[in-house]
Amino acid sequence: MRRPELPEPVFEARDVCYSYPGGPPILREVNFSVQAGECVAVLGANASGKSTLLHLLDGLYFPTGGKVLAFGRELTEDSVETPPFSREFRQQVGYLFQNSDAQLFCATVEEELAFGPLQLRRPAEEVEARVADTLRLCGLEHLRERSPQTLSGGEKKKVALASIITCGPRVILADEPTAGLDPRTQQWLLELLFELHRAGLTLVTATHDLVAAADLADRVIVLSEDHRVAADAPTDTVLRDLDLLLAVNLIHVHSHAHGSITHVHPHAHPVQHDYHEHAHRD
Amino acid sequence: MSAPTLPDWYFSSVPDRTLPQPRLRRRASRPVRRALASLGEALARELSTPVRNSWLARIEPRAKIVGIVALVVGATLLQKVWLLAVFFALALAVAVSVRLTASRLIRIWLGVPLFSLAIILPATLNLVTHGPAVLTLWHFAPGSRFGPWALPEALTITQTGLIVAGRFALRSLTCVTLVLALVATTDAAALLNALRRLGMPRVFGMVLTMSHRYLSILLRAAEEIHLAKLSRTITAGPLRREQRWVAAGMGLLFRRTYRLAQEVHEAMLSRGYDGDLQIKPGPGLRPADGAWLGAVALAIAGLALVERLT
Repeated sequence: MRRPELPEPVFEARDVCYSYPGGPPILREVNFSVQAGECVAVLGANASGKSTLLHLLDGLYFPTGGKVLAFGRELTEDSVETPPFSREFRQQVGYLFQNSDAQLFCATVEEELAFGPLQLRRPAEEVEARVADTLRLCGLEHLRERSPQTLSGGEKKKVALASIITCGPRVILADEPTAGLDPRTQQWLLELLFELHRAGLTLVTATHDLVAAADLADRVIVLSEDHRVAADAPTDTVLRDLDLLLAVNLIHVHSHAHGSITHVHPHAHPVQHDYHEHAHRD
Repeated sequence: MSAPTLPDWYFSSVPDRTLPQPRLRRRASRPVRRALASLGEALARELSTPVRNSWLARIEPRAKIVGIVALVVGATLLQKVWLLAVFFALALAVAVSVRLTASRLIRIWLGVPLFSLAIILPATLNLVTHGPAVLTLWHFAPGSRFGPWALPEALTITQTGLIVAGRFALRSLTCVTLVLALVATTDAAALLNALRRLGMPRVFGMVLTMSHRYLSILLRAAEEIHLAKLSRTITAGPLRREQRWVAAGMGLLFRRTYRLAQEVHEAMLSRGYDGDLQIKPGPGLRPADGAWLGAVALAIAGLALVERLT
């Protein structure tokens, strides 16, 4: 069942700049908006500012310049700490952290899933029902009583996503969701995210995995290594622009030898073999 | 991208046995490595030890905590050694009935009460506790002094001192056995949840939960830092350099801990934590829990009555 539409746009970044205290700029004059029901991938090389951008969208950091708006309201320290907006915002936006160990801090999987709805002051019976449904949805019933620290990396990621789902968010921010996962868990996670998107959720995923972006996103925002938005376009358009991907360090020119011939081409799925160049060795 | 060109020395340098060989002091790092590994193993063992099914495991955790704490307080108030011995036998019976293994009991007994015994041993001497001598350890020369204090004729173990030490040791053994029965029959999550429901400040409970949750991660990080250094070490360097390395390692661990704490806090905020931690209400007390609390109260009252009457 599709949820009622959110006021559009869900997020809006206006000339957003961010730098850590005493540090160099992490984001420079970033502008974009995310509409309800969209699935947007934020692509960028390491340290391009993807995670920081998601922290800004989740109201965990606040811009040092410009504005971030969520559901039409500016995210400031005051606004995200003042009810009723604070509770509505936290209920509507879920954040899947890159480091599952940081996200899973409760003693058991069950407590982990119950944490969010309890903080959002949902009644105990409703929390129970949400936990049971989510455990079933994610196939985690057998881990219910387990301590998160005893789980494998893939299981931790599943529990981390489940712990967000129990809050019932309409927007999910996912930071490098497939990083460090085995292929089967990667596929499971991407499929579940895709299903959530089909059910009407808005997804914003930070990644440098072009396969994940191609599988999941309708639109891609590319962050360059100088921390600006280098492109904001449909996924196909961005992934076919090899010059852009090379310039922002998302693909690299790959060189390997076949006998006496050195084979050179930009290297990264899914554009691996679109462009080839052969050069003879001296 | 062209392949990087390695410098000339890379393949030309071969092991040269004519150079002065390092003194083999690598063994010095073994205690650190072993200590970290043992700590990790012990922690993993404690965390993974399943709660054995027993009558005490079925008692509601809050009732169990209240009962065990009442028994511990009762043990500390008893004065007669023979009654304490009876109490210890009672605690031992509880431990056996909840299927605590002898090896686990002995491991704990050897650690905590022996440590207590080391503290109380001086109390057995006539220098601290006067009383009839049981055993003479040393004769002092007449008129000997230790600073401003005049020493007695002999250093002896006194009967009164032995009673004091025995009482202390029995109390420690009883309390440790009871607490062990509590933690062995209650998993950590339920224990912490029960403490919160008994009125422990919520934030304190959360800090305890997180300490329990992240201890093994930080221990693993410390071990990794140590192993990373060890993998590039041929021999231990001068003490000053080793000290610098230890300080740097502690700094690195602190930075990682700080970063992790920050991330955990962000993850909590992200899921709606607003400073007032909400916890899941647990089930209420059942008749069996009331029976347990009644039995505890009867045992304490009975022992207190016997002590008063004898």
